[in-house]
Amino acid sequence: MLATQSSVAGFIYKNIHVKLYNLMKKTIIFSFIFLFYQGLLFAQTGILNGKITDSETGEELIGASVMVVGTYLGSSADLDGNYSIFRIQAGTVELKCSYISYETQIIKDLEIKEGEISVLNIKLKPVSVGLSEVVVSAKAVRNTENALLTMQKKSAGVLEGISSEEIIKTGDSDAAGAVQRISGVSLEGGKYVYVRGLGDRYSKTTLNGAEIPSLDPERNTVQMDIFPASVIENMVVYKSFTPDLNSFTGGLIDIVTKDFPDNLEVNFGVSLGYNTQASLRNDFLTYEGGKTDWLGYDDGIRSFPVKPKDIPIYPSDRDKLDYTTKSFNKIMEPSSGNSFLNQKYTFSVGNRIDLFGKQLGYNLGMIYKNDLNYFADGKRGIYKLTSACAESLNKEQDFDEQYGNNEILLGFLGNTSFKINESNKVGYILLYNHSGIKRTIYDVGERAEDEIGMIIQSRELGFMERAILSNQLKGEHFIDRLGKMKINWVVSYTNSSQKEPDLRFFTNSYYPDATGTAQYEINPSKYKVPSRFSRTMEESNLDNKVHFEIPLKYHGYKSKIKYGASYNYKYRDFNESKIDYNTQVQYYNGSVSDYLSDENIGQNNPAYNPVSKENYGLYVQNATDLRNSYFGYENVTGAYIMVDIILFEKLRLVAGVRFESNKMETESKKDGIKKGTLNDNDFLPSINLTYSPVKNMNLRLVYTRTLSRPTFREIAPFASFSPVAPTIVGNPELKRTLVDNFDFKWEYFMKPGEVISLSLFYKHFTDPIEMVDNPVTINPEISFQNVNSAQNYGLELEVSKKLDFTGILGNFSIGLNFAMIKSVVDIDSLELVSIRALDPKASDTRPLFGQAPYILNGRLSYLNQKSGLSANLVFNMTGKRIALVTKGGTPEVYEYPFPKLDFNASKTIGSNFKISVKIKNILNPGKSQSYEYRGKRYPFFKFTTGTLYELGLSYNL
Amino acid sequence: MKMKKINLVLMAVLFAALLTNLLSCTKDDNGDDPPQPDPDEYTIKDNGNGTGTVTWKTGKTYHLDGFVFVNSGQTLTIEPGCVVKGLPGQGENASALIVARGGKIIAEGTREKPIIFTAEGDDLNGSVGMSDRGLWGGLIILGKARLNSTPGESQIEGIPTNEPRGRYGGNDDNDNSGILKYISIRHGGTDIGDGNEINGLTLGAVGSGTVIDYVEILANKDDGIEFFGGAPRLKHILSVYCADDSFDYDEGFRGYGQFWVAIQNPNEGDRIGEHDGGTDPETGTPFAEPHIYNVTYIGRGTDAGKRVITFRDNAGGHYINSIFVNQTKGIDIENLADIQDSYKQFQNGLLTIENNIFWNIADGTADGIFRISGSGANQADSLSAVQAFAAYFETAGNEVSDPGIDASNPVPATPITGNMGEYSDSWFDNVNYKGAFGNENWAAGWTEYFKTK
Repeated sequence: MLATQSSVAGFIYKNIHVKLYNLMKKTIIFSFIFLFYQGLLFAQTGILNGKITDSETGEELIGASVMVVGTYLGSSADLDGNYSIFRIQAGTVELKCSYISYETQIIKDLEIKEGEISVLNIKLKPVSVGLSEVVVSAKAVRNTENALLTMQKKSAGVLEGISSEEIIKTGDSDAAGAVQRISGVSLEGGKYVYVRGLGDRYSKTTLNGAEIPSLDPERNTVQMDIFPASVIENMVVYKSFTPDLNSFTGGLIDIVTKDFPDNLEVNFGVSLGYNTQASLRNDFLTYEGGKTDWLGYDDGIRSFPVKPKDIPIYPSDRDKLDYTTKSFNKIMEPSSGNSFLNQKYTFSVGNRIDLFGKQLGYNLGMIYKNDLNYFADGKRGIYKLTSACAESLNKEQDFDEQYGNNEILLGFLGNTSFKINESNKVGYILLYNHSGIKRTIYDVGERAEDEIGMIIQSRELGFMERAILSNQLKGEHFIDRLGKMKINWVVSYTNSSQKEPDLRFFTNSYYPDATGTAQYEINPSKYKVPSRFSRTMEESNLDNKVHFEIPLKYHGYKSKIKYGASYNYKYRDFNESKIDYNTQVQYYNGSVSDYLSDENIGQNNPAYNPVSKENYGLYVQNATDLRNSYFGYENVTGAYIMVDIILFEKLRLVAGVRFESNKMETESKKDGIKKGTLNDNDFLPSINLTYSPVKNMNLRLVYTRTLSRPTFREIAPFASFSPVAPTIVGNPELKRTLVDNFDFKWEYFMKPGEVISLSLFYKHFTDPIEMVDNPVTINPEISFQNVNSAQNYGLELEVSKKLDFTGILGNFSIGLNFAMIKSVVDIDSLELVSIRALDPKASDTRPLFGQAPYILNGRLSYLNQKSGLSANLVFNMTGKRIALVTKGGTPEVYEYPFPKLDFNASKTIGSNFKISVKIKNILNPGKSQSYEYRGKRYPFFKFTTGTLYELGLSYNL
Repeated sequence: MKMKKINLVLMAVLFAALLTNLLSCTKDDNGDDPPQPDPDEYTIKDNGNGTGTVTWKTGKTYHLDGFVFVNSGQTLTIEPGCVVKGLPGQGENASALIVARGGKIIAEGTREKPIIFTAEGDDLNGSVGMSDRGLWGGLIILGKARLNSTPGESQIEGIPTNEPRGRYGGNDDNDNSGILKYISIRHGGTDIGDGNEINGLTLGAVGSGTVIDYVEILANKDDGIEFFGGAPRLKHILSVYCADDSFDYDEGFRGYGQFWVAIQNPNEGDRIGEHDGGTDPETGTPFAEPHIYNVTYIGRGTDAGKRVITFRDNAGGHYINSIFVNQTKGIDIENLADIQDSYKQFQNGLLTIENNIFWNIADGTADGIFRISGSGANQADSLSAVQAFAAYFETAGNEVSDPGIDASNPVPATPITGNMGEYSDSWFDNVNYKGAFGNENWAAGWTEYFKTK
């Protein structure tokens, strides 16, 4: 029944998708017309834009008025607190800004330039009694910025962020660069966000509050380098749960796009990067692909010539089988190629224009990136502890790996917002991203199970195309009559796909010093025969949310109540097909191309005996394992209510509860395989007490319950294959993880933009999910498993401080986030039995999978606004954490700390140009996942990535 | 796609049901189906219920479609002369017969009417080459005998972990999985997913109550027979042209063997015997210590680079009154640093190789045929191990001499007698010759390999 429902839903969404795709095309054309339309230049007048907020809470003051003194010109703030005044006579003017129960502000000496747009954000102070009026200079107003910090100070939960102003100042070109400046956030692989060092499982990314799937379907978070800096209004990182956030686990990053740019902004950027390991090589590991690989699209050369299921089954129809085998592409081994530099080209444009007397804002961003990665020093090992008194681990497998990877990213982001009136606005966002990753791997090594001296060579040629197309419609409304209710909604539909056409594996072995003729062989009983896979995945994701917010008075203090609902639906269809190369005669001579040549295929093979029918040569067979193709769907319906009340002058309570009802199902396309199902109804309470003994200080006490659900990949029966790494199989028995979080936090805001905080936290995990080497299988097989429970105890220190108290270091600031965590898991009883079979005294606890004992993020920044010079030194390091729970008494595989030091600097040249320099991974320490036994490390997987030097130039109109 | 199809099918079925109801509302069900003639061909598909307790009859052909289980509590009886064919293909299409833990197979052929397990494409008249391999799965028997791996229960290779009928292991070394007699298993060993080829005959924790006598495994793509723990007793076994090892054991095999023959194809095949002790941990108990008498192992030839037997991962075992010919390398035992390993088993007398004949093996010297592998504690220790094992060759009554046999005729002109080792149990036939054959070829007539020889 459920399956039927999901199919119907999938069908409907597919149709919607086609319609949205057409809409998207129209939108792009529409947007380009606006791009070249500049109807907003007025002789001798200028425009003033800005935002009016509460100086203490950072809340936008809807309806606050602003007037140019001595004129009739004026405006009132809309539901975002934004105002615009047009046709102001150029020259110096005086402004008056007022709002009920706030101090009126007179702003002097504001310069309006002819034909230009000025920006002035205004903060008003609340007054409880009487009326007052203050006079300030425009310059002073400009310098008090940091609306986000105010937001942090007054936020319900624990959050941090970075605003567009800051991004402009620091010169970051995309969200990936900017997000690193938020304390407690680190970047994995240069693009994926980890909050507080918690792995991908516990982090999530949203765009304007709506979920967007990652280009990588196995990840929760979206790669951050697809968002050009110019379209970002702000990025907020939520570190604690409030009921208005759905599917929250440990950290959430919300990227908020700019609605109404202040004026025409056009930006071109180009940068070239030199990676010390990957760039300018003449031996870059690659293979001959298609003509459009450089764009990230396969031109069809990787399509299979026949459907695997139509291949004749040996020994029937040998003639047709020979013909079919010949028709497959003959390239199954890497070749050496020339590599150039990393390249990045960006273009963005944004503006606000008048449309029928209403405001319409738009932003368009485009990006093309070409990145190279290469290493020749990779190691892949498997080790085993054979007895408790062993001096060392026994080597089961030891491979050297050479790896070449070329990733092309194409991105397009467009958004447009329309202000219907001061109280209503709607917006539409279109996001399209496409990447093509060409991957070439060569491994060579030995295994203990084989004859001594037998060397295995393995080759992998892959090309993975990923695309997401996301459409988002959102709106905000302010209804005065309904008790000043604010309504905020978003409908988001995303279609993502992943294709991996013609993924090729070719493995063989040889004896370097063997006597006789059998030096080279392809031995199917030891490893897989040469094979080709084709995988496709389609996923659709519908996310709807609505929030209602009503201000209240409680004991005379301003409070509010917020409630809302959400509905999220995801549908995935994954298909895999595969062919194998078999033969009934051994004739491999060490040359891959000879092996595949037409002369050796089937009946053409010189050894074939047509009479006895023995020694039939090379032939392809359908080796598809239907078990690996699956459907999955998930829907999450949520509703919440929360209140934000000032109980006493200094004590604030934010409390509420979220209800989430979740249904998830994955079903293999092969009959008789157990379905992975989740069916949970969860109440997720959140209580946050904030006590402010003095104005700039908060003491917070927080209890929340959050959850983490398995991904489709983890719960689906799918098994992924690699010739040298263990097979990874999903587990349909998985349950979702519940987390009870307790936080106690002290925070002190020394000055705007400066904070010091210290928190103690405790987390109790019920059924956490770990990656384990399945104890009942003989060959290594990695799967996912729930353990009963785990506990984390931690301490986190955060400092963000300008060094302006010193004379010389006035332009410097530092940021530091340091967390220490002790995590304890009760080892699964089955696992403990096998551990204690080796070591009867072994402990029955260990750290939680993926949990590091410490996380350190540090930042030293220099910013000179006058000269336009900005520089940053960023350091990240995460303590060693379990990467794989091993079988039996063999020590767990840990991922070792990777101290990462990055530097970037940018300088404006004239008013339009900016030049930037980046050095990434200066220390280049190498990534390492290893076993550790008696003080010695044995590599499971390790490699180095090289240091990247990047030079960029951008032009701003 | 599939779900859409299901929808369509459901709708079609509903519509059809409705239609039939409308049209047939006046007509009552009157039809007794006419009696079905007994066909000669049956297709067997497992829908989770196994084969049931059933008899497969003489003269009939049974086609296995996918994995077919004999579930716990069920007994599959196969009559003499019955043919079982595995449908072709690999991965999703792989077929195999699996006797689950607690299930039983009674397959008693005769010399005149052996029971044949082969590939669908085999017309039993030369449609596939004698050495063609990997055309279907194989026969897997799972029991309740002991393993030496923790947690004492494993999932058999190639059966997905979430199929509980793939489990084997327990506490009953006398477990009885039935009878296999006069059986020929041919052209199997397909890849059944996740990179696992299936063995011709897989015995997972099979107990000594099971009878296994006169079994041929011909041209399997993986091992001929692989034992995972347990204590089964096997006589008269022929493992021919297998692409991996002819006989392989793991997880503490403690059975008996007599009259085993291995014949390798000159073009393909790995070790004749791959003998491992434990996996997790390697030192797990009970130790692997089978008693194997009267084998004739014939290798690929002196220049193919392959080995007669490897003892590893703490494996023990006894090879007595046997003949080994035509292989590049001899027998090696593993010696690791300071820990329990096969060399310690040798030192403790749990690994013996006595009263055997070697010919055309390695360089024909004692230290060429008996070798030590592994790291050793240090050089001095390794050296003393090398010397001790080589010296053992002669003290244990082994000799280098020509038995006058080869792959086409493994029966010596006259039985090779003299210098016999004693039989350790009355189960063994107390014969007075070395190797698997005395005067007559007991494999002639009923096996495929000796059909023409």
